[in-house]
Amino acid sequence: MVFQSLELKELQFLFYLIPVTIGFELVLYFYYQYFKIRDVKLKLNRVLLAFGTFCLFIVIGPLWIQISRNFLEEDTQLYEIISRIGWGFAFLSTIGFSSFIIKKEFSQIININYVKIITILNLIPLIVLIFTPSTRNPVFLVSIIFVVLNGINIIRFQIILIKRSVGKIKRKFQFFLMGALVSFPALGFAILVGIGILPPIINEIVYFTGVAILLLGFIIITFSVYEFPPFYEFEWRENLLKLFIINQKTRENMYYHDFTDEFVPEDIVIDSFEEISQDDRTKLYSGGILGIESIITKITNTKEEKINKIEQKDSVILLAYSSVIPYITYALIIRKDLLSLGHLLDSIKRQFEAFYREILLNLENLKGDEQLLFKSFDVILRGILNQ
Amino acid sequence: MLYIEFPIGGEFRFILMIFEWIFSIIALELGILFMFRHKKGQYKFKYSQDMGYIFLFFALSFSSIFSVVGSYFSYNIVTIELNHFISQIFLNSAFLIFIFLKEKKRIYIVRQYFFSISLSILLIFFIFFSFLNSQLIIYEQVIFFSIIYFFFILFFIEFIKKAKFESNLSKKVIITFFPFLILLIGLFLTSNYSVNILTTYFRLIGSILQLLGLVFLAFSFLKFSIFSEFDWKNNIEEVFLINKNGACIFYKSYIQKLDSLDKHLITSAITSVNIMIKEILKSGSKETSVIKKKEKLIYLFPGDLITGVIISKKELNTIEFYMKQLIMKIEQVYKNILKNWDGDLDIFDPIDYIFEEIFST
Repeated sequence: MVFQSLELKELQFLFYLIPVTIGFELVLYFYYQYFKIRDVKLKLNRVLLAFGTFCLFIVIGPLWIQISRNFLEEDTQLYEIISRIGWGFAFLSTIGFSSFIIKKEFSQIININYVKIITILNLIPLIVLIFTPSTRNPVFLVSIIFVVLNGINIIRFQIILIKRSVGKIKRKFQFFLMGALVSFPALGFAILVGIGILPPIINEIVYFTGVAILLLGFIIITFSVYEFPPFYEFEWRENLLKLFIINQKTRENMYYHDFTDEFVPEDIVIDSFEEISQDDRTKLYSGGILGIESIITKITNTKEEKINKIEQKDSVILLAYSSVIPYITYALIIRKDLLSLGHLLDSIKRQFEAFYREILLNLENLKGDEQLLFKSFDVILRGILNQ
Repeated sequence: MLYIEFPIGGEFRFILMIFEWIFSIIALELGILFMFRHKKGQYKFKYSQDMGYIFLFFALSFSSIFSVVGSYFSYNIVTIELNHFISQIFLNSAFLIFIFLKEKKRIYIVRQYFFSISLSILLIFFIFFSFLNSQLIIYEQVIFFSIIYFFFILFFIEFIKKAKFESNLSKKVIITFFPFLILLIGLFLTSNYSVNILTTYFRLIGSILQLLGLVFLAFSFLKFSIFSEFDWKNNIEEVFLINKNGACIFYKSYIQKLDSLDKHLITSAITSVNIMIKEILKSGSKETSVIKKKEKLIYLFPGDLITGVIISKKELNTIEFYMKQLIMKIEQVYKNILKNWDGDLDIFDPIDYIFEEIFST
């Protein structure tokens, strides 16, 4: 089959549309995941926007370059405009990513000032792009170094993210990094093809290889975006102390979990009443929490309003109330008030009520054995904590 | 000879090609996605009927790929016709298998497999005679789409009849049939027959419609699995849940109620039968058993701590998925109770609600 030049270019373009389609789906999914829990205001979740924006520009940029390279070569002026817009979008991929991580919350793992400087430097190739006479100009090609520098910094940031995170989210970061690392060589291939220095057949081979590599990278990234968990503060696990699920009517503790053995570092001393048995202690805690609530309600004469938080020097009690049964209270005792832990408590509440929905609706008819029944929630809680 | 000039040129060539190519990519992605979900057991594809959807997506994708090659990148009559021929084979096979799997469990008109047989005859006729006269591709498409439309009208009527008491019926109907309708209109408008009598402008509309139909269809499949045996509940007579000692912890009857003694006798007997079957057949402890008797079937679904038993009037493929869900949920919730059960049956009362929750989806 002998193709004419235009058909060959169309074929190249169609092949490129495969990663483009997957890329756009990734962008939509990353943004969707972010906006799904946006109201919780988990600042670190902006990493989803960073990933989505990176994918968006890395797809759009080369797409414009492809259009100009394949279909506009005869119209030199239009070719230059479209090609430059494409390059501009491609450079925005790293700028976009970095701008979303310039946040106080990320300062724990990365030097924000350093990121700011690199991001500003990344603007240089954009400025050069506007004033350069041609995209094959050596000054322009040299300025790409700043994009590469920012790219390396993004990789470094992701490596730190992987090191600092645990559980499911760690695996998700690993997949994204792996996919991004596989995709990066495709950018090199794209630059080679874009500046048009290769002989015809080699140029086509490099083109198809580059697109295949990009496709492979995007497929790997797909595994990272699927069921991406909310990104909590790095130290959220260490701040967990105890969880109580209390039946206000019977004043009984339905479920209790102590996190101190699992997550709290050994150097932190947790005050415990050694002389009181575990069972009595949980009863005391749950009775105390309910007592505080009823006293405050009486004092403030606010029956409709519920307490959501009780703070004292080194600890905080977060409270949540059942949406299925009005007399169930969820109390999470933590060391430091983190936004993530409010989301965690909501998540625990949701999962508990989904898991025991039918049981909770008939709670009044259950006699004895409730604690044994609700102890099965341990497995679900373990799953929530491993996100 | 086909009337349309291939490869397709003109002002719509590029945009048409892009739409049809993206359709192929998304259909292929959906096929892979549904296959993964099926393998992971996340989706309710536990029965052969719904496997048709996976095949449908793959075949639509391959059909579209060959159509793109035949319509835009073929320059002699042999390659043009060969590509369209293969594309047509994929398209026919997709709907043939889809309808065959639907007809496997139901008679839609005249006799079982009426539509499957009709489409098979059409396909064989097409394979053997299209080489003699390429014009047959166009005629075949007209008859093919007529049969498909007819099937979907019957399918739609039956769906309404069966599901008229279901909640959100209008929503389900719109979400299920609207994408199919758009997809079929799109496929028809992009067919060579339509382009012959209409113009490439209509092919463009068809391409957009088939792409939209595919996206909506995927959305509806992810949301619902309502094409399945939605009347399966009518065929269940009794449901038992038995602990490892043979005691009945849950009983539900859709016929006459048994008293407490009867149900414990039945569950003890079933447990003994199950033990004997496992011994005789040397099968694994988690294999589902089916005991068939004239007009009665007994299904046994063993779990780690309990065994589910269903007595039904008809063979039910769907039930296994739901029963395994029920057993898994009860074993998770009652794990500690079942391990140290003191004989108090009241604790298991909420199972009735769990049962309703799972079986009402």
